[in-house]
Amino acid sequence: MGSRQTMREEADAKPPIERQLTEVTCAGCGCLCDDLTLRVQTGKIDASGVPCTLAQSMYVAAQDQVHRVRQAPEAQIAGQPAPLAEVLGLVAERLTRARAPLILGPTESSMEAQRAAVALADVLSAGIDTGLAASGSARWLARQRAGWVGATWGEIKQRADLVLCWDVDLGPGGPHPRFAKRFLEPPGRFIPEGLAGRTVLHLACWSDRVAGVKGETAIVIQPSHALATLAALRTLVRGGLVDLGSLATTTGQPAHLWAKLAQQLKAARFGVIVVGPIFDRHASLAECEGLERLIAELNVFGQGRFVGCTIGQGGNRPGLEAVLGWQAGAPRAVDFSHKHPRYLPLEAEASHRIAEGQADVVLAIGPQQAATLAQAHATRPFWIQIGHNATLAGSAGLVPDLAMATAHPWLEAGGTVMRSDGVPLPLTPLLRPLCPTDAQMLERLRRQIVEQGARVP
Amino acid sequence: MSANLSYMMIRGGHVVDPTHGIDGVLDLWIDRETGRVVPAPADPDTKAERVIDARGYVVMPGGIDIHCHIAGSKVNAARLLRPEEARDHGPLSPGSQLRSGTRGSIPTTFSTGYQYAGLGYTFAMDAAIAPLGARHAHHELEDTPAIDKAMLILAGNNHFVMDCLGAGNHAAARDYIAWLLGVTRAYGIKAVNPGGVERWKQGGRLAWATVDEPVPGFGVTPRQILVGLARAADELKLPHPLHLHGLNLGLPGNAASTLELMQTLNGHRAHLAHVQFMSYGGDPVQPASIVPAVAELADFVNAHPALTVDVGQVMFGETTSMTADGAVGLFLHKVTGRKWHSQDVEQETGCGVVPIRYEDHNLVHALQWAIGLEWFLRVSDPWRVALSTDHPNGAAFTAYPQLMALLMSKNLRDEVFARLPAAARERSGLAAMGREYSLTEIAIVTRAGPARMLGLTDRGHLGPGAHGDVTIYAPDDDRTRMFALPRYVIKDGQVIVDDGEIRATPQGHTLEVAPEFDEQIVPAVRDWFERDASIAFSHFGAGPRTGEESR
Ligand code: SF4
Ligand SMILES: [Zn+2]
Repeated sequence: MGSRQTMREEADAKPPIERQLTEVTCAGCGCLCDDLTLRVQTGKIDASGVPCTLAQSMYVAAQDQVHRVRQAPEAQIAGQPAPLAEVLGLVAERLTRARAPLILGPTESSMEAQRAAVALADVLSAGIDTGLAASGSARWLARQRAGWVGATWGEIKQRADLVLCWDVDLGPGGPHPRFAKRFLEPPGRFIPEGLAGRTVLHLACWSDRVAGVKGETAIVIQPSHALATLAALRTLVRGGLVDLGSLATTTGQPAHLWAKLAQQLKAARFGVIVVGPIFDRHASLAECEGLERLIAELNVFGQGRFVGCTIGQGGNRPGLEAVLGWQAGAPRAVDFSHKHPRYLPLEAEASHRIAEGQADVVLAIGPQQAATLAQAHATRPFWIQIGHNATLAGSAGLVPDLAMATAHPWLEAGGTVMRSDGVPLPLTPLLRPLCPTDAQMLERLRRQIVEQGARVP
Repeated sequence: MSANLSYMMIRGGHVVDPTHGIDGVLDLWIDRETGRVVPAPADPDTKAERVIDARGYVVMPGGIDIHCHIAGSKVNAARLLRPEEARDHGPLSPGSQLRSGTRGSIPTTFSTGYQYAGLGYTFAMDAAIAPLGARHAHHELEDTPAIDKAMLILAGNNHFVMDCLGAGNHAAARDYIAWLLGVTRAYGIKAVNPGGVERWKQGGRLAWATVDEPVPGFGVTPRQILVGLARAADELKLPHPLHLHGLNLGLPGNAASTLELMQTLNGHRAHLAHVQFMSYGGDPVQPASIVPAVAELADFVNAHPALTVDVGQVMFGETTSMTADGAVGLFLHKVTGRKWHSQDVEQETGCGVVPIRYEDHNLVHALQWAIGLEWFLRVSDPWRVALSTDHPNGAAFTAYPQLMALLMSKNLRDEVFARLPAAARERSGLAAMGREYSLTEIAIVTRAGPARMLGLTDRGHLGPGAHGDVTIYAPDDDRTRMFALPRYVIKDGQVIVDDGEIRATPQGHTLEVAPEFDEQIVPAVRDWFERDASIAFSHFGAGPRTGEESR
């Protein structure tokens, strides 16, 4: 890490060069499209040619933030500028002294940074979780009870003749604008007609609006009927008897519709049920388990292959779950306080620990979020923020106790991200960072802590 | 007379180095700067800076695992699927500056490295990485310290390979394989149920596979895939030949398929992985009809020097099955009723993970145990059979010491055999086999042999130029204890394990090959990839190295 001032001067002194970057990976949503072409001129990214309005606005906003961060201090103590080295020393010291440190693992960082974050949790005997939202908890618990069946998205493009979208809007104006364009519309090796060769169905439960890919209308069910619907579908798929009349009454959908849906699912040559952030946020453990079991049973009782597909929120939560898996043996809610990783769903969840006042020092890695800070403000753990916007003035006047700015994870840092189908992708640094990357910062912090003798009596 | 700072001498140990026919007391010199074994200095007054007194101990090269599953998407999915494994086996908490982790059949990466080293193993080959996930697998290998490692990539159901071979264009398939090895930074190729995984992905049906039934849509048969890949590995002069998981894994009657595959290879080099799982007689639809069918297969291997095998021994207890043969995962899920993870990888492979408990009172499991041991005892040339449990499929690698003990003692085998169901004892010929492995034979099947099979010329032996990877065991009548707790483990001339304590954790090297090929293949690969894959062409592969030394 050179001096920020010199780096800034060097950057300013560079002659304007225009570069065209191809096959750029976008973290704008869970699609993690890696086929964008961008122009970068004199430190400015031009994303106007990108065929996705969500991506365009993401790049505009991210770049705006990069410019503001460049004017902001590299580090802060209680909101006041301070030299990075001093703050880093304080962070190391405060984390080493902590009784119950807690790391909010970076879901908006490369896997390289995520590896460094889990290493830090290990050396500090800290708790680490994938953020404050409990989202994902039920899904993982269900998978650990029932297993899960999936496929990489190229399989869907090549083979899927039946697609059931559950509370996922795949329309161009929705939260995953290019998923259908990239994986459902093109012809696949075994679906030469492309979208025309696929049956696309929609189920809306927790969302009020679902735009069909081909203008289909959705089957609408009430959230309170999700479990009964899954149970009935599973029974129908297994060839059991279901009281369709009462199912019709419960769900408000005609009986023949359910019988037909089960029939369509079973008849698929390669079927897929697509869910997204809405399902993950709302579905209970029993509902998640019902879904995973339905998919597995379609492989046993159906005519062909059947898989599940989850489109994530954007960012790199799947990367952190994978890294926690190989370094700590569990996807989230890990506690190192016994000097080894323990998976403690519920108990070691960050939201629980903070709400119960069980964490005295929190290290939040990633973008600072007003809601997170507000929660921290209420319970008052010592708050350390490491992330790209860590030193930008927060909303509502809430400021971390210590803050260090890092390079923008998607625009400046580089590294590896993981799609929610498990496919790893590289990030292209578009701009030259003035701050250290989060991976560098975390590694530097770990070294400093080791030198201070953490874990050595 | 002064100490030479860079030398380590292992003094007076009983060296077992089958490659050089050594089985006797010898001093061993390692240059710690290069990490390599060197000849004893000509000047008899030369003093080494570090001397390990090995008098009374047994000294062997570091162990080499030719076939295990320790990294990548499939292994990691198993970790995420089975947190109960971590709870049931207790933690790994080595203290001080080491990384903690979990144990069990699917340990975390740091724990994997430490535990291998703790057993005296210094190299492990992950035998099944989907090329699309190579980037992820390399991340995990970087986090697997203390040992050297490498990966084999899955190629037996690869669309580009099948398209080329279906069109009769062998050269294109070969060039593609060479390109693929380079971009994924892999060491060799593996075929899993060639063509059969693709067939399953197309229909989801569990069907009996035959060598000559074409793969729908590709105009190629399993036989053609097999021969094409074996030939490509030979032509590319890969250090390790085609690594093969055959047809109908785990099903009674599959020995006939295995024999047919071996005959099909017709002189090409090949390594048959976890043959235990491929050596059953009986009726495919009647699991209880399983009978051992090792004799004929082992005879064939004995008579064909181009073939080598590793066993995939089953040991009784809880473990995790994982395979790129997706259909096997579904089969086990149906048979055991246990949770099932499956993940199909576009254009390349499938994957199935199911927990499994091998029980000595279960007829099928009992016979699997006996069949594995039969393989060790029936292959006459120990250089062509490697010790493996197909970790974690037959058992975790931590069961290796027990397995070595079984090979060295008929009494031990008889004790276990007596507990097996009567029907298993009647069908198995194991009790009649009196062969007991010597220390030299153990050293062959656990290091010298697998190193030779993998073409690792500077490993598995202790001659000058070899890696200074040495395991020092305290002789013990209890062979399990002897092999489970080496007195010292030395990696590249550095003591990494001292009496069970991890002393150092070098990063370890990841080995890779980069065979030459005709670059003209790349545009065709790109066209195919851009049409069919879900990621950009330039993002395929492992990406650049991140610093650690590679070969
Ligand atoms: S769909 Fe999502 S990932 Fe793809 S370009 Fe648009 S915002 Fe980016
Ligand atoms: Zn295997």
